[in-house]
Amino acid sequence: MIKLTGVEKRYGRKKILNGVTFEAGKGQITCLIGINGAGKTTILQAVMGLTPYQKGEITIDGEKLSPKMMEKITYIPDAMTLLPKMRIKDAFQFMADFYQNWNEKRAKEILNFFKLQEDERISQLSKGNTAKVNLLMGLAMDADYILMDEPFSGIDIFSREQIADVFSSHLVEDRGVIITTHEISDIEHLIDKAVLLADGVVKKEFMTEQIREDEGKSVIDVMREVYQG
Amino acid sequence: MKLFGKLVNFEFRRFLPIYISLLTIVFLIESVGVLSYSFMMKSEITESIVKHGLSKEQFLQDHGFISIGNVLSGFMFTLPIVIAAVTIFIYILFIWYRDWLGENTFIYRLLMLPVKRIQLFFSKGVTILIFVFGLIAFQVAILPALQVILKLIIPVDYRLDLTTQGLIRSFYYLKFLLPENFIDFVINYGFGTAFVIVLFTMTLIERSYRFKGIFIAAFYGISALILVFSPYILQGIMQGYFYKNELLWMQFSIAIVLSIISVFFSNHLLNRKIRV
Repeated sequence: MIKLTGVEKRYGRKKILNGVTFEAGKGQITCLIGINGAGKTTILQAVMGLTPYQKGEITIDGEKLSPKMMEKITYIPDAMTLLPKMRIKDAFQFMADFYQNWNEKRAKEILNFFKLQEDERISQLSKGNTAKVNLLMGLAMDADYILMDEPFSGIDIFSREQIADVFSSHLVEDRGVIITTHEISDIEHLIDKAVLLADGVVKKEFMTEQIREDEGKSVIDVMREVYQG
Repeated sequence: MKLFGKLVNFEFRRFLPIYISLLTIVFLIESVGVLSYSFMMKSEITESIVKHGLSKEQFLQDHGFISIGNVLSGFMFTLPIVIAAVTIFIYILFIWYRDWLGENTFIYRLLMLPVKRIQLFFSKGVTILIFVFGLIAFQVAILPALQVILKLIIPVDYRLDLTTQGLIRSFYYLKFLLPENFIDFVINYGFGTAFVIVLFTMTLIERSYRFKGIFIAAFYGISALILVFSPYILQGIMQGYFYKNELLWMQFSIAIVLSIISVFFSNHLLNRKIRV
């Protein structure tokens, strides 16, 4: 389980995260929802040790982040993190060199699923294919947790559908997924838990199925209540 | 350790195309230098003997023996050394920044590797050392080849051929880069390594604190510089109390302490303060 307790982060005088507390379990898809600037990306970066935070604690299965932990958790940012001159196959080699949990077979399976070619250069990928390669790099690792930052941001409808298909496939089965988005409609039916954020604070946290069954509300209904009063 | 080797190899391969171009430039400029000197001296020989009717002995009395040693301190050998030094210096400055500021933000990937982050620091440092030693080795290796160019153009009676050691001794910059005794070697490269470590730390300070970091990094760099030269300040106050050798060892000790502090500080920044 990924657990955040009272996490606070400031940029200068501005508080980006103001005591964020929530949990994301294994085998669940947890969605961080909020408008731009709500602190979604900062939370994921803080979990991965990519940005410092001033207060609070983040643990992964009860342990603090360490180099060893990078085999257990993987982060898929919304920007390409591979070198432009690399070909996809070079990126596979890079991952295989450094990660014991890199699953080459799965990487090739996802490559075929997305209809990408190993010889394609990173710099020549379209925005949609860049998002797919990013996703591939994270999903092809046998990691327990996957953090995804805005995987649907700025890509065409067909790529969105393909990426959304991944969430209902065996590729994320049994793993803990935290996904951030401000476009919930694409994945509303796939998520298990929603965490609504605003101004660096968790406004509401709920299990989607429970709220559907108990109150007959969709995630979007709850969002309206929280964000529009 | 295995992953550290892979990191060094990865860093090395990233700079390899520029490095190979650099070695090619060094070879080409120096070859042109030797070729133009050789042809110039050959025409001097021809002119002296054919036009002025001088004997070989008279020519040698006027000009001395023709040797590659005569051009080793010239412009065509200084220029490639300066180009190489400037390129490597720029590389030291940008070896971190390119991971943040490139077309893609590769720093995400580097910081998420399952290795201690200080290994990134050391791998970049070791890569630079490999480049520096590689460049020196290349320079030493091509000197005999360059001498062959001279041998092909100038007749043996007018020439003074040098051994490899003689070539190194005649080359001012190589004398400094490849000192004859081990202590000088340790001191020269110790200062060089300390310089790189402090520069890396300054870069990481800026990358951690951004705008505020520019001032902190500048303060850190200036303080380090003052500390390293503080024995000379002390010498001034104490009116020449220390021997030159003692001053050098004091400076060297300060540089070592500064390097150790910088490594620990960088480790702290990489683990606790760095941001993508």
